[in-house]
Amino acid sequence: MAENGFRNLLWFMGVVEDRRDPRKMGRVRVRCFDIHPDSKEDVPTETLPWAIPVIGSYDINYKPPIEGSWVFGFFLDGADAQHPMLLGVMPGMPTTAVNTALGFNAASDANPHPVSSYQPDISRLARGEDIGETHVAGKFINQEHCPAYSWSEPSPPYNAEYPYNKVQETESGHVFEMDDTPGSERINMHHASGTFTEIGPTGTRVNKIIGDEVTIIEKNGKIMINGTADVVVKGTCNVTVESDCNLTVDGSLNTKVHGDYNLNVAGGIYMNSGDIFSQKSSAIRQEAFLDNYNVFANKSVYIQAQKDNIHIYANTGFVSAYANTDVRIESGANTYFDAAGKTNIKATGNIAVEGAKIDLNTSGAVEVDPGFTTILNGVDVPRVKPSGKQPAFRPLFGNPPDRKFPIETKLEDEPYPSFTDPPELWRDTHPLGEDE
Amino acid sequence: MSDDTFDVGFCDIQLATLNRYGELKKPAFDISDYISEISFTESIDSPLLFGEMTLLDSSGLIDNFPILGEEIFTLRYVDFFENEITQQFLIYSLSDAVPGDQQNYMYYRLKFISPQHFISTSKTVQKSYIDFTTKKMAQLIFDEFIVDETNFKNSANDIEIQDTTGTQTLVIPSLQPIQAINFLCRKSFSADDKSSNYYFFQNREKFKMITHEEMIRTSKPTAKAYSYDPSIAIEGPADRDRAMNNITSFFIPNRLNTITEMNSGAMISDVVEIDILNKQYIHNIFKYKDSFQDYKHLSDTVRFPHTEKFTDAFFSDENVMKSYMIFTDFEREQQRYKDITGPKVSNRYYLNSTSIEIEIYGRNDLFAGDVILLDIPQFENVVGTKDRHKSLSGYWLVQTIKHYIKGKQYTSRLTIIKDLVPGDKSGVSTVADMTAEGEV
Repeated sequence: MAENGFRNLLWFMGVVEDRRDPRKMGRVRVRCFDIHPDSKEDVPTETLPWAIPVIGSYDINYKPPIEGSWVFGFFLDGADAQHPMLLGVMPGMPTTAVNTALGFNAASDANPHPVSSYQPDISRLARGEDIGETHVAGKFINQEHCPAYSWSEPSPPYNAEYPYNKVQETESGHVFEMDDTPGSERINMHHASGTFTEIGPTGTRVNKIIGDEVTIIEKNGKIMINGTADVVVKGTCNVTVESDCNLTVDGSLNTKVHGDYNLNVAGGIYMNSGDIFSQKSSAIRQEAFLDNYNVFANKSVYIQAQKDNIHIYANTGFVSAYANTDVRIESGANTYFDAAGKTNIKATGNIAVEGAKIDLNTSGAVEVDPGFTTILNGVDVPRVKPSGKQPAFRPLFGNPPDRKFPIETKLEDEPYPSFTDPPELWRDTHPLGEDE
Repeated sequence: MSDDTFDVGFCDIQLATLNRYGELKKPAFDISDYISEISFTESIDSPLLFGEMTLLDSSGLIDNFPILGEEIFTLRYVDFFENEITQQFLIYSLSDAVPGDQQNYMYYRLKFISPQHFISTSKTVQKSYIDFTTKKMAQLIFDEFIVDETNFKNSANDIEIQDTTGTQTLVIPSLQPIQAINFLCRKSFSADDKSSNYYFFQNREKFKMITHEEMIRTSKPTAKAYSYDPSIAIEGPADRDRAMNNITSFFIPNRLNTITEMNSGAMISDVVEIDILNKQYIHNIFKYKDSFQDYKHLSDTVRFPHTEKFTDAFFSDENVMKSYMIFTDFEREQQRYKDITGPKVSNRYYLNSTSIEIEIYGRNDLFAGDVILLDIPQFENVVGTKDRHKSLSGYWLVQTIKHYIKGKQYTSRLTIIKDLVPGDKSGVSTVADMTAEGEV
């Protein structure tokens, strides 16, 4: 009876032949020395009773021993030997070839390192031997060198010495190391694909991801880098901010774009500078497709075409220029005024027309209506009033435009008092500026 | 009917030879003239026959034969009823050698055992049996590991196995064949015999793996009747026949012991079923009182061994003195240890709780596992015909027979057992009455 057995346990040593517990509860089938035969015909593996593990570490996240492991335990029912319990694994070193046709010879189909003679069961990483057959070699081979940038992937810090490196190595090649080797303390979490996170002895951490990485933070995320940050994206970088994006740079913000720079803004664009705002491009096109285009300068506005013309078109309205002081139009060559309608020139002072020759060509009459005298070549010409009417006042320019540019209201909020007291604005080689 | 010339307890050893192992076809060495006395035992508690004989050797048999402890001992003998039995044993021990007074002979003792002992102890069963009844497993093990028709053709090579209920998958864990069948006895469940109290034993007839209930069922109808009359006088053939059914001595070593009964858990026990994987811990209180009428008893009307008040006081749920842990294997639900443990423990205890040792004249048609019917008079000081003893008379199961043959005299010492005493059947006073009533 089991009662006798429980008080007279039958101890066993054996070899794990099957760990595929149909109940997925960590049980294994063990062929026990001196209890079961090595003939799989007499006792097929599938008839061996399932051994329940006794987990001495009290950690229920128990990893069943792989096939071929030598284990130790006892039978709850004593000599009846139908209820095995597993106490632990006995590491060793296979010195003979595995013959799976016989019992006690099970080989795991999932062993990351095929069972080879004279290789202890303890991981090479823990022993610090044959490291060329471990993931460390892969790290060296696949080390990322970035000569185009100022930094590269650090060399693997593996320098383990037995018995300081505690290794958990799974059958597919996943590795978790906690290495206490003096001077080379590390923590390494390595995926079989090559992705790893390794913390070296100085605290440097290397994350290398062979596949994609997706980071999702349900709440807030904060990153602080006290030193320099280098980010290299070799593919396209897409950044989407579903709310506001605030970028504060205490120094300069330098942006290099080797292709186009497309900036699409559904609202307004407000660019404020405490110093000069300089744009330089092979060609510049600015378009206000719905409303006005306003240019305001606290001082002068200069428009210069270095090599070609300056064209100002008003497709449906008029072109007006207003100055509180003079309006000067200078031309290095000819000056043309073409009007489809009338051309009116009015001055409250004198109008001086000076030229080598003044031609008045008209298909109609030339009407001169002086208020006072008309002197031609020193001769007083009698006043002529062919229409008999007093000349009417016809303003040429109307009222001056409103000079309140939007930028003026924004300036009031800016923290840069220098804007209201700007430094000298123009230090370019503009020829007209020199005149100023 | 015996021959008129035979004395009571007559026995004639017709053949007693030694053969070297593996040389059965060669002429055997006759030791019948050497044998001073011989005894051997069969028991339902023993899987094998065993015995010893004292030899008076005046020809240096020990060294000249020589005796190496591997000889096949063949014994053929005829009893009073002219029933003949041939047995084969294996010599395994020579001891207690004493030289005779004139230094012209030597006494010594040879011990022998069924040859299956040697077969069994030299083999181990390490084998899986998948979805078989334990009966089938036992048969396979017996055929493969125990039978040896070549070297022991006159030994018992047959086994009678009672049906068992349910199939199981078991891995025999490196047991000797006899141990393996005993192991199967412990695992066997019988839906017919609720005790599941299987015994594996060998008597002079054959091997058997049956419950005590089966023994009672099959043997009770042909039970041999014995009476106890120490003053019987043998004056003619009829007296000799009557004497062959007379008990010559009588001893009651065990009648009852309540403390042992309590400690054994026979009356009440707790079979604690532990299912580790399913984290279940189930108490199964077994009370013999609730089920004793479900078992086949030697007597058809049995009396519960204790009064109701005593039972309530000392065999209630609070008085569980014995618990048995069993481990449930949900994948092997046919292993009905919960249903086996309590009944087996109780039945085995009560079957042995009352035993008598009697001595009778030897006969070859009485075997361990048989049922006999006793007619014991009441031990009381009365004049005239005495009433039948209420508890000692009736059916008994032969647990053990120790056979003694000395010269032409054959006696048997029996240990007979009874499970429960019969109920009060006043007015029944003779074996004939008891038989007629289907008692006791």
